[in-house]
Amino acid sequence: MNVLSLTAKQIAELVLTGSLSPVDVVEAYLDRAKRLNPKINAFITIAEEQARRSAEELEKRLRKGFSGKFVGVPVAVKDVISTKGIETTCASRVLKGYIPPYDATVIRRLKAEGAIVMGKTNMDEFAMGSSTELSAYGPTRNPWNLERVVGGSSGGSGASVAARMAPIALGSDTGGSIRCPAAFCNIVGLKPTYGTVSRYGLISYACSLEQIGPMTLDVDDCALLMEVITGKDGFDSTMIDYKFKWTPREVKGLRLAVPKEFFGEGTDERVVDKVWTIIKLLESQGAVYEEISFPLARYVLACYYIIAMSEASSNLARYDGVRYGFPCDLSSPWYDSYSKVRGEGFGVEVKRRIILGCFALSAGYYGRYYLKALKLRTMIRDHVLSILKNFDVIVTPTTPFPPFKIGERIEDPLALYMADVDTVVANLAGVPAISVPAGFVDGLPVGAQFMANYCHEDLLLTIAKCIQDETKFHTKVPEEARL
Amino acid sequence: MSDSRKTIITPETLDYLSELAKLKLTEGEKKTFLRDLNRILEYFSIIDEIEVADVEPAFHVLNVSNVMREDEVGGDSLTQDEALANAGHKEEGYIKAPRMV
Repeated sequence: MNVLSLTAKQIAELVLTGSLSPVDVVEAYLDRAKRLNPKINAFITIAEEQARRSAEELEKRLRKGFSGKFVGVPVAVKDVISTKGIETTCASRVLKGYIPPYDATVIRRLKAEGAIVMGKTNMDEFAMGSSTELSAYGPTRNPWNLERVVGGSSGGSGASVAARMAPIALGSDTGGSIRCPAAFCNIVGLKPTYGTVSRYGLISYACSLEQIGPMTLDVDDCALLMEVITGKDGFDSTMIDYKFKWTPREVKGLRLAVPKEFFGEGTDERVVDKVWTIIKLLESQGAVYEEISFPLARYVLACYYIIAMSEASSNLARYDGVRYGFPCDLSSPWYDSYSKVRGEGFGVEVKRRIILGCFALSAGYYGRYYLKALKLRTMIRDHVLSILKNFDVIVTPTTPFPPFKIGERIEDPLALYMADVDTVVANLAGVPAISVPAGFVDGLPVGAQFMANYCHEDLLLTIAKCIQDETKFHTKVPEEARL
Repeated sequence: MSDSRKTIITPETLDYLSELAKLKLTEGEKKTFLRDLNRILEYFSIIDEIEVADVEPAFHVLNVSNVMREDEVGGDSLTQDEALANAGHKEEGYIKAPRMV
């Protein structure tokens, strides 16, 4: 038995029955991660010592009868999530050397179930990007084709799972940052309903949009991870009372809405074909679909970026080099010192978004950009909810194109922003959305996306499970990750 | 940029914004930002097509209201050493900041 070919659920079961030791599991994944990381660059930090120590402690606790849903399961964590005692950089120079003195709530919950943090994964700096090329630690390469991007911003988490460097990973999704890399890596990625997963310990970029969520090889691991990370937390006052629970059911009778604007101009025809194949597959299993119109599709990207950049300009004001990060210069006046820390510490996309956000919030432009975007957000949310009154889910491609070449879009921010056109709707509306493997275009993975009403993650997993069982795409392994 | 109506961010506006944002930009960054920011804003102007006069803004998607509690120190706070651990400059249990006045 090769431990690297197991799912998280299988690992935990074998550890609990004594057939596998947590130390052996961790060693196998550490060895694998260290061997592949120079090529793929999925991890910023491989927490070798901490992971070993946790595995040894876990063995002692197991002997005393400890049990949990993720016993002995290594988890790769996006470097935007705080991990006690393990460097957390947000892939930025400004936070290099920052060691959080506390765990994010999601990490605390995973540890309580016996999971072991094995490292911190690469990402676009402060989660701002759609390709994981905008990291101070260099781009992550796609295990399906090393010349291609892995998607972003949780690209390191996606690549780590796809290349079997970790069985499961956590990402964060502000405008598609879990779903895009899931699609580009042939894995499952879920953005939960806003307010169902604690954001305590998530280093903020755009608070009203972002959620932590699971990135896994299969649907069962995704469900298990959701069971552990959802649930109210006293440290996050924006939460709703919801605990995920999933009883698999049939897709028979489910009603799918197919908004034609997300299958039209600007979307690669080969991607459209793959997603339609999935829709037809669901139809063959008893689901019904109807093509509908989403006239606001044209405005979703502008609306999203104005809001995200405005919130970013406020959230990122805290990086002044005083309490943490890139140390400030005590000999200059405060404004020079702060400007220097921020000028040298932030990368170009972060600066671009802070400045645009400042502009959108400034006197004279607030009404034209920020306030208008918030009103558009109301219209978009209401439109999504009105569709979901008549349908169970909305289906779109996850991204309009397959993984592109590293460097291909990097000089043109607008071209890069286009990667998010299918995913931002769910963040603007706050509804849950999943990306499921939908097949391959020239050997590169693409994803199908499903959105449901608030707290209807169970429907998303039911559909994902049906697709998984019928296609078995999830069993395909990239060349770079052959075991 | 050929069409002056599209130039919303001038070099002076960019200087003002980078001062507001406390971001020191290099000359190279200023040059590419002027081009990129105006292109992005031109794209954003697509929202001018939509009439929103009677729509309420969605600051938040869920109906959450303020959560209040007593202003007391919780049981699980950081120690002073933990709170200071990541500061670049510190002295006698305090964080040192640059001169404010």
